[in-house]
Amino acid sequence: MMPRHRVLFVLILAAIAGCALGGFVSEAPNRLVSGHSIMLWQAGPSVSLWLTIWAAALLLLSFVPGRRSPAVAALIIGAGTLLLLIFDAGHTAAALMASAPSAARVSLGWAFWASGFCLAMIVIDALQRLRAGHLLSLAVVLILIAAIAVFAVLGTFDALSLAREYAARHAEFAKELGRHCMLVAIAVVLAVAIGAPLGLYVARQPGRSTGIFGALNLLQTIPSVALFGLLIAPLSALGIGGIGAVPAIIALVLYSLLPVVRNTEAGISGVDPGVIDAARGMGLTPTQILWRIELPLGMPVFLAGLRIVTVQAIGLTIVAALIGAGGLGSFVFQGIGQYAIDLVLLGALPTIALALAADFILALLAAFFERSPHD
Amino acid sequence: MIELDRLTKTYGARASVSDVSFTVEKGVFCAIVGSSGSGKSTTLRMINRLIEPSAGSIRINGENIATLPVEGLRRRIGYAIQSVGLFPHWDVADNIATVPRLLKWPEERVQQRVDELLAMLQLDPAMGGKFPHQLSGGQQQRIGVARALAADPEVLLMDEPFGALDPITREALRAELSRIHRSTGKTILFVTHDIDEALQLADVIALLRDGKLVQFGPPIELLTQPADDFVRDFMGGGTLGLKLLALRQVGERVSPEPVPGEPIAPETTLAEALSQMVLRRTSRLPVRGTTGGANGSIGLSDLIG
Repeated sequence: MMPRHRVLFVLILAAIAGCALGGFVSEAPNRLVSGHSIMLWQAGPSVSLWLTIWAAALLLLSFVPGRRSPAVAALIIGAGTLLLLIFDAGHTAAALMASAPSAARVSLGWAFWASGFCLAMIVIDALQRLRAGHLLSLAVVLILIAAIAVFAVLGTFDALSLAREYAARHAEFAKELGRHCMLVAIAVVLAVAIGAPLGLYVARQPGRSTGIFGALNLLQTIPSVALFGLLIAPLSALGIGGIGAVPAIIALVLYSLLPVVRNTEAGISGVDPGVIDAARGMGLTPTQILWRIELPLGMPVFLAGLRIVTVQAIGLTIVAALIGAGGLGSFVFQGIGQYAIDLVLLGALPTIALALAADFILALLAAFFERSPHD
Repeated sequence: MIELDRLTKTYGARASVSDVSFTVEKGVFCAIVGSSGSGKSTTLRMINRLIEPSAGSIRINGENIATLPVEGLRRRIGYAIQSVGLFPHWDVADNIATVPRLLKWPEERVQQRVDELLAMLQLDPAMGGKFPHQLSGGQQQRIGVARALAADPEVLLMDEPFGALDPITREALRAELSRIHRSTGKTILFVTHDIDEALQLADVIALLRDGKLVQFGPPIELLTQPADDFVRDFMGGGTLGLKLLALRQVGERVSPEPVPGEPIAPETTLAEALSQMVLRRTSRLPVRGTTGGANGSIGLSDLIG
């Protein structure tokens, strides 16, 4: 018998395989040594039993014919299982820590990450099968975030090593998160301020495009660590200082220019020449044509560029910590230095969340611009 | 009145338009005709200064347009093109209102004018709220014409406006344009490569070849006294006589003697009358009397005139 929904079938099998091959959590005597794995079925009957039942339900669901109802069921059960998995991880850690010395650490294991990823994909797949719009997707994401936030407030995760790394640094975390966002915001604003006019110039003077795009392409090929390093000497010579926020922002802006310039140019050049001819013929001034015709019509393409740039900058800012710019990257590099994986995660997970949030918000904005003339 | 005086446009060594002069009187429908690359669009686009001439001048009502502010000039001239160029992010009403709003008409008058134009082009008033992509090609071009007429311009420039439409829609829009021309008395300059379209619509035809004006005059003159073989060929060559018949109406040639059968209308063109004779296998057709008068008839020999 063939499964009706192969994506769901493969994902749930992968989740089960992940649980079978790796530990659900690992317990270590302290934060610096690697611990021993505790498999899902060793985590206590209530944990393994319920997760097994829900996983079995999802597996069965992949054989149910139909379109809408199985997708709705997969969405609800998938999201529920994901929350249960997250809750169980905290619960298991609390049970282990109850009988362990306080220096002991319980970290999340491969089974958690693998099955968590598969369950998230199941939710996304169900949303796609339902042809969910941005609003429904947003609602599902917000419900999941709210539920996890409630767990966090109730102390479900307190025993997990990740939460203990956070607890030890929560003031520092808030500062570095804020700094990370600030670096990204300044870099993106500057990249738009420089790149958008440059893109407009290239759209007006197509002859000049080869040189400008050549230079910007070359910048993109320099590895980020190298670019941060390369800026140290010239900036020191200028007396600005080769480390800190300024060189980080300069490097981020340089990386962001190509997508901004390219998408601004593509957005403006993509406007139907007949529309521009009619606008000129009716007596719109060049400024009016730019603001009333070219910019609104080019906006979706421009926003797509802004989306690439923002997500890219959020990730690249991690590396900026290497030259003392701060941001969430400082946890990542501290964690690598101390071989404390949970500290790395304390920097990496919020970065991923930020990137996803920025991507989603800008996609929403682009959809608004695409759709507004059709309403 | 529009006067083109020794108008020339060169691109490098190549002259796209050279030494073109003609005058279009107020209220006249002028078709600028020629094959691709004859310079007809370039000539038209110099009138609203989308292209600046290399030499020569254009005067509208005696004013040299080179001395006028360019945007102000364009707002006085309606402009409709083959690709229509409706603004896709504006609804139909906003598209039509483009020039009146540029001229800062009070909003109430703008709305009133939009309603007037939708009615003039026989469009549903509810269409004002629709967006261009929701309309058919024919509807879009009607909106394009409405937009060109919006600020009640003295002159209307049209660059193959019906070129991309199917034959039935094109025919309907030609009839529409003919009606609008008669009712508004606008001076219209209309670029086309379709000589039948020009014969049907125009009061005068400017025939261009390789950037030069070959002949300028009423359609009948181009048909009966072509300046050279090129004009003769362009006007239809062997079918020239039929095109001539298409310009005249049965009413001009009717004789009183009655014949039996279904009468044709006196507004029928001579070409259609000839077609009817072939179809009915007769050399004489009954013609309906004008407003209550007795029916007459037209014979094959009357067509020759």
